[in-house]
Amino acid sequence: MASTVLSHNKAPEGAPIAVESEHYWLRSLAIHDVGQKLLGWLNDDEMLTGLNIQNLNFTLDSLRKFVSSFDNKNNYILGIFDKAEETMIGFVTLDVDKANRIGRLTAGLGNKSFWGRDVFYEIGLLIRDYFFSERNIEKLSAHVVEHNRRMIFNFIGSPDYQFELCLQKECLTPDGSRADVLVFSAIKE
Amino acid sequence: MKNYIDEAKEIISVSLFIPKEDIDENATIHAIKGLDSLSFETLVLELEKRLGRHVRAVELVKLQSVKDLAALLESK
Repeated sequence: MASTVLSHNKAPEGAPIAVESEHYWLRSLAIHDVGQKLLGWLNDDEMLTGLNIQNLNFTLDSLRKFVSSFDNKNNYILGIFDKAEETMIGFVTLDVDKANRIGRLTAGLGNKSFWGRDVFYEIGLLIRDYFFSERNIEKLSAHVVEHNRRMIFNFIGSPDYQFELCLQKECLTPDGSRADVLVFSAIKE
Repeated sequence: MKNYIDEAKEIISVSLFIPKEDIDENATIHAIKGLDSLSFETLVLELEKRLGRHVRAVELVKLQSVKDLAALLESK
């Protein structure tokens, strides 16, 4: 199958990366990317519910520290940029276990006008193709909390990220109940 | 005997505002015109209404086609 990576910047480990698919750019976020847009997304209740993370009450300062904590070796934070609108529409984080060559993905689409537009389908393939070919990763996994049905839809029938298992009552939700987490994974052949 | 394929098409039709006749019973979920991650939520709510119960995420993962939706309805 042809790679979804149209171009990338051949960045060495530790350097910011930039990679391009048909409709989107993915690039490492830097401190200058931190502004009200990203802050708003990471403090948005609907976004946090989907990601099942508690409100971290980021300020611009704490968010800058958070973004600068990603080293492009052991973890990455990448902005998703729509090429047509030339704007950031979401983000992806990837935590890497280098010893085992695996990565764990988290993604959020902050610009809600892009919801329902298969952004994650294309981005998921782009990440897989790039990290498998350029970053020595052999397995990528996304953990999706059961109530995030929109994200689950993105994985249904995917030939690339397959349903691997259900972690029962894996996480605590804001209302105090426990929720299942579904794991979808892509494995390098 | 109840026609579960027909009921599956009805759920999709109601959720997406498309005629039942336009839904191919052999279609995969992603081939259904107009079905995206947002309308999928509407579809699941309609499905839960008819089943009278919450549909677990592990059941949703198996919904890869119109026929899978019919099979879930049949298991009610």
